[in-house]
Amino acid sequence: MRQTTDTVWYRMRMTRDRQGLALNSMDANASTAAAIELRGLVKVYGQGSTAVRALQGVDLTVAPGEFLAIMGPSGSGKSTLLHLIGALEQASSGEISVAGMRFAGLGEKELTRLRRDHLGFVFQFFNLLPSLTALENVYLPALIAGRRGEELQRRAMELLGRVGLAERAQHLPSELSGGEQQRVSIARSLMLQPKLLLADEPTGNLDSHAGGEVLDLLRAVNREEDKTIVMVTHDPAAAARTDRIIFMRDGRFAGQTPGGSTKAVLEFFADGHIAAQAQAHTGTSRAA
Amino acid sequence: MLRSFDSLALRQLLTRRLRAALTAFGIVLGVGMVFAVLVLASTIRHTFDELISSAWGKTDLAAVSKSGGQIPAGKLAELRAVPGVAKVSPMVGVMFRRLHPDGSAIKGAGAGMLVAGIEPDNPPYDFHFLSGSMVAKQGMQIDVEQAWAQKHGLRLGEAIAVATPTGRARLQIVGLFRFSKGLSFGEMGFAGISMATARQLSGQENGYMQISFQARDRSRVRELQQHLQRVLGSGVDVKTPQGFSDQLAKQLQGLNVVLYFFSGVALFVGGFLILNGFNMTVLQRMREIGMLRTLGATRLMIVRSVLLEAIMIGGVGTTLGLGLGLALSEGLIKMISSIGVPVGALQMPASALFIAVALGLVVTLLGALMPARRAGRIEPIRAVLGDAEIRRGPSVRRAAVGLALFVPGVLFGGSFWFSDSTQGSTLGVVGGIALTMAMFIGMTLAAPYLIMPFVRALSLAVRRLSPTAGRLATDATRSNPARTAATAVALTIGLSVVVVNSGISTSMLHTINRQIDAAYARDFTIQPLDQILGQSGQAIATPVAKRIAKLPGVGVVTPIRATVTQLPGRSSDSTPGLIMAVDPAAWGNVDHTPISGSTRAQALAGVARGGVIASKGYAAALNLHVGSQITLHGPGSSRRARVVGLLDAATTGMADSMQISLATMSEVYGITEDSQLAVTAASPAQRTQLGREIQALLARDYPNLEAASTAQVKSQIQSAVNRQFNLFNAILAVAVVISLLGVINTLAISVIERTREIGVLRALGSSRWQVRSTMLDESLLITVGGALAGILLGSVIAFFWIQGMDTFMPGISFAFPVATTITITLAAIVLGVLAAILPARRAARLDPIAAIAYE
Ligand SMILES: Nc1ncnc2c1ncn2[C@@H]1O[C@H](COP(=O)(O)OP(=O)(O)OP(=O)(O)O)[C@@H](O)[C@H]1O
Ligand SMILES: [Mg+2]
Repeated sequence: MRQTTDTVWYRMRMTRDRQGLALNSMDANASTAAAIELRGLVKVYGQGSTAVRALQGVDLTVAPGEFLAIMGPSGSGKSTLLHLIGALEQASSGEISVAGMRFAGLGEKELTRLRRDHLGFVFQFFNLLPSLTALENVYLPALIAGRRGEELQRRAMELLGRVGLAERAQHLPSELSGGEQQRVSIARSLMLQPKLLLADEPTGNLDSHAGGEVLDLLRAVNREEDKTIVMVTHDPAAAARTDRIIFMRDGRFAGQTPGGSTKAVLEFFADGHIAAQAQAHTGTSRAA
Repeated sequence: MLRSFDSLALRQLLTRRLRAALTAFGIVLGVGMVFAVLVLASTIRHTFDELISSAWGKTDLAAVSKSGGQIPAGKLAELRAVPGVAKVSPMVGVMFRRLHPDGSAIKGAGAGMLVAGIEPDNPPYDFHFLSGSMVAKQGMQIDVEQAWAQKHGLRLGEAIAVATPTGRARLQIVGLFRFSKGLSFGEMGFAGISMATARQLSGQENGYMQISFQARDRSRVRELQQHLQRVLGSGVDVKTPQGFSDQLAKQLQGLNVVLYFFSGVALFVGGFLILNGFNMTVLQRMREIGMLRTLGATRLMIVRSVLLEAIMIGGVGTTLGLGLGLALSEGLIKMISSIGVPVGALQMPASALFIAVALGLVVTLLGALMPARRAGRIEPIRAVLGDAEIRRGPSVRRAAVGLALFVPGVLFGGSFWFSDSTQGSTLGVVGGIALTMAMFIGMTLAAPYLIMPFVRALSLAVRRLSPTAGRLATDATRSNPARTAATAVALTIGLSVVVVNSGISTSMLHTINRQIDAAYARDFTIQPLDQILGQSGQAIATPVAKRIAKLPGVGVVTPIRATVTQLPGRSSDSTPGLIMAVDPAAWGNVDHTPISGSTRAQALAGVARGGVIASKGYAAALNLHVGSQITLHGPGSSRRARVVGLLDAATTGMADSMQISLATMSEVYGITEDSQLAVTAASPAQRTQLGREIQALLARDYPNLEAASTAQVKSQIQSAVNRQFNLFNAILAVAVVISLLGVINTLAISVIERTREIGVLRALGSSRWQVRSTMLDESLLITVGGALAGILLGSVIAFFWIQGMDTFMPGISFAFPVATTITITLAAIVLGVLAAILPARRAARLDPIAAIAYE
């Protein structure tokens, strides 16, 4: 059995798991049932002297139903990591599997389908289509998947209700505030009921109140619908509301802490844990 | 409510209405022009068919002299004796011009009358009298076509005053008729008079212009045709009415090819607008498309959605284009009837409709294909990275390919459009058009390399003039060279064709002007009003020359008799040439055109012995040289003739031309009437006085004639050449308008892109005017840069093409179209300003706060 830091963490989380999901995943087969499994992930941009090593060997396991935050300084590779998990970009080397599916060997078509059926994205800049109403934006993924009918609108309406925007269904994005737009985009990401949501600084563009609402929503979605969520954030308060926080530095894993209170997160920074953990992490990775 | 992913395309289109409209308008104009030309071509074709079938409904065969001369009268009895002939109806043709009450001639084509001298009891045409009746066998009576009579307010019973070749006459209208299908002849009137009156007024004592036949047995027309052809000889065409119609249509094919080509250019530019518009839209929507891809849209779905947008734009554009095309065709018909082609009622065949619609849709789709593929290749990561444009200049490979396509068309295109070695052969036409098309595509690819230096040079000037606004504008054009170039290229293409066109016409005119003094070494040219040599129409009766010769102070009076027909050795559907008959004894006094292959004196002596002086182009095409023999075929006889010299000038305005003696003309071609008279004064001192005398004589007795100075002849030739080129330029103007839409489009996008920048400027205190002038400068950089490149490229093409025109016009040399260049440059400035109006207003109206918040 691997003794990497994240499997330790994995176990910790499992004990806390309110729903007691997949208790048997604590055994050696746990990785096949993991929501996300990363092994030795490397991403290099460019070539030769101008090459940027954005990720330099990252291992990570995320359990189903886990709400994970990724933190780290600017340029540490957080977004890159998320893009690789979301199949938006290809890894230079290493392995990725999401919901038990390994990316290696998947073609363009399969990756597209994977994004469509298993992943939901929430972007910093909302990315709603300006020409569509909130409601239409929400059920757009279903249209893309080739579904039709009244049913879609009903479900989209439900989702809008869920994010508290039922009254704004017929509004265009330009008529909504940033926080409202982000809630619409969360509703959209839920339309096809993916198991995994990926969010890159979803509150980065919002003030603390709107950001708080978005976080409440994500938290609720995670709890009530059993979605696995990976969220990149710079905000300790936001990170504190997740199950687990991992830290990145220079494209490497640099430590982790359970979520809970903002104070714990800040302390974690102060303790210099990150540097120490990073060394431990690389050490164990090599040993494995 | 959005029902399916595909309906997203429509939604996108509706949110960008202005842009969609601008893009579609290129197709509207392009399809409009193509449709107009198709309608025009079929209208002309139909006019001929109508003309011939309605006037000749009962006629099975007709005989017409190939060279426009007379069929000898003696043949008539022989023809009547041919077995199988039921009826033989001869006709004599003459032209009249109506006069003002004061006795002077009414100018313009509408006053001309084509008059058929007929045997009233044996008419060659199917006259349907609406009122009155057929003219009597003798006397000053006339039947007039009813529509023309009505247009000019002529009524039954009225007497009309006309100028005839032999002088003034008054004829009483005794009948108003129309042909079976109620066709009119365009501007000219059509009338019938008795054969005896025609002989008297035309001065033609014998011979017929045309003879119509009815067969006893309509199923054996073919046999009869062969028999009649044998009797009449090779100088006369015996054909069915349909045959004549086909022949006329074939002769116009050259013109049609040019018209199709130019309208094709308009559509090409329209397609280019689609390409640019969609390229910009796709670039702008990269984030959105990336996002759709993260939501699971496949590449194919994205491609399809762009193509769907294109189809919608193409569909709407094409439909509107058809409507516009109808309006444009009315204009074209006016212009084409001004160059003497008869046209009747508008014809809109289903095939034209189909072709225009298909072309419109295909061009739209082709234009959208590349942007659609580009959209399909957008990676999902774009959802995060945003619209950041890959600002790449055009690649070197592109320039090389462009040049490789451009050069052959420049070098050899000219010999396709102007030399006669390819004339008539389908392969030649297809090859030539393919070469020219390749040239344009090459130009499209390579032009950015020419345009950008122009834009850079202009930028420097603009910055000098307006430091702040100019700075922003030049940054905008340079930060996105691909787009600036792509926008300007559309303009470059349209304008380069205009420049080629006018480079050729200017060079032709310059050449004619240079040569004309030698060719018109005389004081006066007596000719029918506004009718230059070679234009078919009215003749001058023989007494006129005699009367002028008697005036005091006359040096030489010598006639020129001309006919326009295919020269010996040419096929019957090739472009006709000019046969000119002169008096070899006097001709040397009034014409100093250089002759090669022999001396002038020898050549004229040869002409006196029955020889011909051939134009260089004709000689080159048929591989003739001095000493070669050719066979002249006319309605009178056929005979062998020796080439005695080569004409080293282009003053006849036709590639094929030859000079023969008056005697040969009359014996072979049966032409005995003068087309022009060349007159010189006995001494320069007497010139003014002689001029006055001639004017007086003409005004008194021959108001349909004029005495033109060489300068006047020059300007008449000039305006004839211009009329033809104006028709082409009108079509090209549409292409230029389309490319301007492209400029507006680009500017509009530029405003959107720079919204934030403009907002900052406004927040920092720039006035609206300054913001406006930024847009204006950008527009000017694009239009003027594009125009300069167009002028340069057009001149290069014209220069090389003209080198290939030497056989068509000996001695032609390239003359830079100065006037056009100045006009285009000024127009580019004006149009640049116009194109900027809308976007500039939009930019100036931006609210500074909103602009800064814009994302
Ligand atoms: N497309 C790219 N081409 C080249 N380098 C890139 C590209 N994308 C990211 N990088 C580089 O990779 C490194 C990691 O970038 P990444 O966007 O993952 O950082 P981040 O942790 O998300 O930073 P931030 O907090 O600022 O968003 C950075 O050095 C960045 O410059
Ligand atoms: Mg990031």
